[in-house]
Amino acid sequence: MLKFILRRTFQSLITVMGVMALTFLLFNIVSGDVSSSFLGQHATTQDRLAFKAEHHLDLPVLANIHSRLQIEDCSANKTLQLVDQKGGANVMNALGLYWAIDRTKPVAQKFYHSQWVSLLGEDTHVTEMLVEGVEMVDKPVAPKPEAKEEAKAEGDAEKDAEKNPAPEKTPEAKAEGDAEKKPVLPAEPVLEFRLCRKDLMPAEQAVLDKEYGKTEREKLEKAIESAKAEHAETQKKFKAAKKPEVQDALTSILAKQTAELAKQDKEHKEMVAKIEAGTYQATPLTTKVIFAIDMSTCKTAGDVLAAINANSANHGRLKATIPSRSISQVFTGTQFYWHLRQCVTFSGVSWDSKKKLSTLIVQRGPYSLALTIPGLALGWFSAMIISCFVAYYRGKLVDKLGVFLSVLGMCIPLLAYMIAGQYLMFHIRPDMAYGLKHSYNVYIPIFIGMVAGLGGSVRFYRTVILNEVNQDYVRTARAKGLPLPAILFKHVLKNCMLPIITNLIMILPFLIMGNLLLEKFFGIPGLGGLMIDSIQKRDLPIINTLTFLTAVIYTVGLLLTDILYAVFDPRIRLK
Amino acid sequence: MTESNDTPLLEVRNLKTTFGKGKTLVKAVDDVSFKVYPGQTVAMVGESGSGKTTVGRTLLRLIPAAGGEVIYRGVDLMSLKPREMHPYRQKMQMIFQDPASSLNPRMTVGNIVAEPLDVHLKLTRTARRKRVGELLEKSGLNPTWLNRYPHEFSGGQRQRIGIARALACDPEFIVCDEPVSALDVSIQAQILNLLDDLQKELGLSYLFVAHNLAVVEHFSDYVCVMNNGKIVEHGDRDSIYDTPQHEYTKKLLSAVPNADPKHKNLHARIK
Amino acid sequence: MAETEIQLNPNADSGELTPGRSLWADALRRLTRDKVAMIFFAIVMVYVLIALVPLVASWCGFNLVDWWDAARNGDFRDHGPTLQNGIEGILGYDVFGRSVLGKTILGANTSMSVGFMANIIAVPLGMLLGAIAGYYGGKVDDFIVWVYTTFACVPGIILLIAIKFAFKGVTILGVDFGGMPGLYLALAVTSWIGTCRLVRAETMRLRELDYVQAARCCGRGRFMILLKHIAPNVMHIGIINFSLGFVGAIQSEVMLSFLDIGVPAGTPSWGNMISAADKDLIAGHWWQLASAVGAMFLVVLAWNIFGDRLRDALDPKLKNAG
Ligand SMILES: Nc1ncnc2c1ncn2[C@@H]1O[C@H](COP(=O)(O)OP(=O)(O)OP(=O)(O)O)[C@@H](O)[C@H]1O
Ligand SMILES: [Mg+2]
Repeated sequence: MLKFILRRTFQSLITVMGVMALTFLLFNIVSGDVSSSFLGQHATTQDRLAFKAEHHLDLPVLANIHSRLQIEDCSANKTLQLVDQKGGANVMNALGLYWAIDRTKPVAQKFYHSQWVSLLGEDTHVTEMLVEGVEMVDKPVAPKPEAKEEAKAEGDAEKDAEKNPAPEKTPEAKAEGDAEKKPVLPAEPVLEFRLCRKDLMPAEQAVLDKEYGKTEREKLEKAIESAKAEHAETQKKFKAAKKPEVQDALTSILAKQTAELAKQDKEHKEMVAKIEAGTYQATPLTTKVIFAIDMSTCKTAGDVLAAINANSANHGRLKATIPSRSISQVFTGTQFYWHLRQCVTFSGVSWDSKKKLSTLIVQRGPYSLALTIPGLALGWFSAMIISCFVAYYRGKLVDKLGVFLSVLGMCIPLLAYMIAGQYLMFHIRPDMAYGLKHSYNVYIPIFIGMVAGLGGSVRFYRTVILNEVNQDYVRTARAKGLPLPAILFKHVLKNCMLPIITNLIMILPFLIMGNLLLEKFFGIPGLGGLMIDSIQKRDLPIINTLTFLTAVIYTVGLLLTDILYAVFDPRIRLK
Repeated sequence: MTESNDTPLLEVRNLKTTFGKGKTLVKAVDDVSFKVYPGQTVAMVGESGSGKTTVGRTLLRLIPAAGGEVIYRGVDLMSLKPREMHPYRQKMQMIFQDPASSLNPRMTVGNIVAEPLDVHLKLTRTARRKRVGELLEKSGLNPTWLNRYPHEFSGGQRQRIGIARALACDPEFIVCDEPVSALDVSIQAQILNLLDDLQKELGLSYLFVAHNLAVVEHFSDYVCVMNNGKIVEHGDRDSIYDTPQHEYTKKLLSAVPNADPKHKNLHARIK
Repeated sequence: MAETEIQLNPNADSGELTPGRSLWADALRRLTRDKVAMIFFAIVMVYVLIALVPLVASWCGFNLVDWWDAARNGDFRDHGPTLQNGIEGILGYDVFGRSVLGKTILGANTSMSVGFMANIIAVPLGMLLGAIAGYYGGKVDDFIVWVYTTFACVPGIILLIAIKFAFKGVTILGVDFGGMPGLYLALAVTSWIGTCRLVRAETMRLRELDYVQAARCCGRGRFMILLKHIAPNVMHIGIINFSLGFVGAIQSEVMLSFLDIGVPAGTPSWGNMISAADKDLIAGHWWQLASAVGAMFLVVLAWNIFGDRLRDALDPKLKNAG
């Protein structure tokens, strides 16, 4: 027995997992990009990216295998590790490219910045990694052909391409282009590796020094030139000047300029001497771009690796490797994990109202229960009474009429009941035909819920009862002379209880979920209405957790009925 | 028939079949061995649930065996792959216990009988039709009935359809799984006689399963008595009927209404 | 022959082949002798014919929906039933002055196509999976059972709404699942379970029957057995569920259209009619609502009763079982 319960429980667990997988499949995969359907058509790429990052929607779907890109400095024996935390698909992420793109958005910046820091680490030998070319430009720029491709490949930015002006627009039109147009992200971000002087190899330093010396010398020579010109100007003025006080003033300036010139000359001489001797050094703070990688061609860590290793300017100084594919977050770093976590812990927070699901359930649950419990109880009692009555007269006119009426009842659409009920409601209290401003308004929905299900249940219970009435023991009891009502109520009903209870348990989830349509139609703020609203708004956390909740309740109900059967009906256990 | 009568057509060695596992393990067939010689009938007798049907089905590989060998013309059938088993299926057939459930209710008699033909011999339409007619005739049915459906026949006729199907590909060996136990006595005799005639005519070998010793008495050459999945006694028909050794066999024999010594008469009468 | 059988049909022994009567023919005969079944079948057929009219018209290059939509009668906006314009106004006019009779007739096409398409997907799917699960057993069975219990655990209406929403704006291979194909698929996905369950149970029963064993003994492969021996014997379950599923699909369509996620707006359907008219009743404009509900009620009733009778005819055992 215990073994049976355990096995059934295990099966139920697997089923519940299945439900979570199903909702995940439906909402996260089939329906495409959730962020854009929730945020609407007009959300910007930045908004969507930020939203995705916030709700873990940018993670890989089922398995997270990060690419760890290791860049090793062969000369200095130091390494830099870049870990693509968001899974193997997109190294752009790891390199913090999104951070750069999203620097206009505070949320995104915060999020990616921390990632950026964690990526670069404390003891980074490569002192700076810049992602250049991400300047925000004021005027819209027509996207290059590659720009579109990249946007597609990234998947996130699909709509982005549409927002850019159409390529066939003339340059004039573009120049005039309306100012409210959003700045366009350049298509080809470049990843630059810059090194500090002290980290350069001697040959590189020499080159750097030489270049630096050349520019410095030119700078200085230019300065000397202009100083000389200025000095000549002042002398000219001095000669032309008649007033003694002006001459006095100019004399002092001239003296200053001459001193300056002499100093610069001396400096220049020293510099030239140093440069010629090869001892002139660039200031320690100067950095050098060793090489740059065009990131638009890199989609994965493997691409970056190839780009670094194959770069002709590298000279084998930096060696990029992918030492291993890390699976430290193979499951916990996935969308599916967060989906499960949200369902199991009931930690869902509505995207729409920002309220916690538990709060919502406490808030709205009572309305649903107020609607369903009386409806169900009344419906059940009346169905039982009618079906007993009908079964008692089986084969007679009453029975036939009862069956016919219940078939008729089943055929009338629920909507017709609801509209008729509303009409009735309107005639009784015209002021309150809608919503729950008055507790009075719950009576008619309850009544409708009861009547609408009556046909089906009467038919079902009648079949169950008649099945039992046809059993041998009833025939024996009748043969002994017991009156049928006595048999019906004493024996038959007792034996029918099992299927009837099963049937009741099957409706359990609806008890909690409320009658979706009734709640929607009569504007009752219950859980059923919440479910429909959430589906319409694509408020995923609420949909997922509510579906999960109903599935759990249903499965537990099934489990209970199975155990009930196993305990009370030994015939079943034999199977 | 080229081989001499002392090499067995089929030899079953230590056959075992189990159902379920763990606590619910049932050893339905436990270490069963016997031989069937060409043209012979081996009867398998035992009470209900003793595992007779399971033996028949296991040796045709309709149920996986838990161990043992079934050697048919020198080949161990149990070691063959399903595909390699295919040619042997043509030569080994089965007639089922319950004529009602052994015929597909949605197929015409012609198609039912022709099923082995369709699988093994690719005949032309007319040849197939002719062959089916022959088979029906051979099993005592009207060959014009081939478009009828099984529910339009009586129990005895349905069993004849089953026999016709078993004969379709000229088998050498047929497992007859209580072919008469679901029929009433007069029809039982007809079917048994038919099987006997066919054996003489075609040189068939039978493994004849029955729970009633009277049924197999006039019919078998060799008798195995099964109880609880094991063969408790086996021997020539005469030795089993005249000098039963095992208690169980004696019990079975005593249950036969007209056992000793009139059984010869019974034999003669049916023939 | 040593003995002669008593012939079932003495006239048949003339060398001609005796025609047999299959179980299908038997069932058909039982059904055609059942007067109630035939009456309701006639009603269903009338609906089917009505539903076919727009289809035939479109084959002839005539779009009935556009024609009806264009034939607006400005003088009769929201007008009740009238005989002034002949038969056209017999059920009144909607707010645009379009004939409600026309709308109801065109709605029959929508309803019938929803019922038909949903079931033509769901029933074969359920039968296929059920037969595979029941016949092969083991891991395959476990998996299929797991899939359908999973589907069964989510209340039907929630699943339906969820699937319909998930399909919104999804286009696969040029098929826009936001429109009617999505509706068909959503209804199919929620309704294959019943068929699958029944077919699985029946297949498991059939698998153990002697005629399947006989086929194996003849050397038939597993797939051929499934095709030749199992499939024809579970086919009646498919037919029964097809007819009963029709009702469910029609009702669900109305429900979904009411929630504005069923038939795309603008397509005439009973659900859209009810949805458009749900507040009209208070204003006393009952005709559109009544036509839609009435049309739907009648067809659902007819399908229900016909389906029941069909089940009794096809599967006499089931009737005894209750
Ligand atoms: N599919 C099965 N699963 C489990 N147990 C089985 C199965 N088939 C047979 N058995 C068991 O194997 C044993 C032998 O069964 P089998 O059908 O061979 O008996 P039998 O001798 O043919 O009986 P009968 O004369 O009634 O036909 C029985 O105890 C039965 O319970
Ligand atoms: Mg048996």
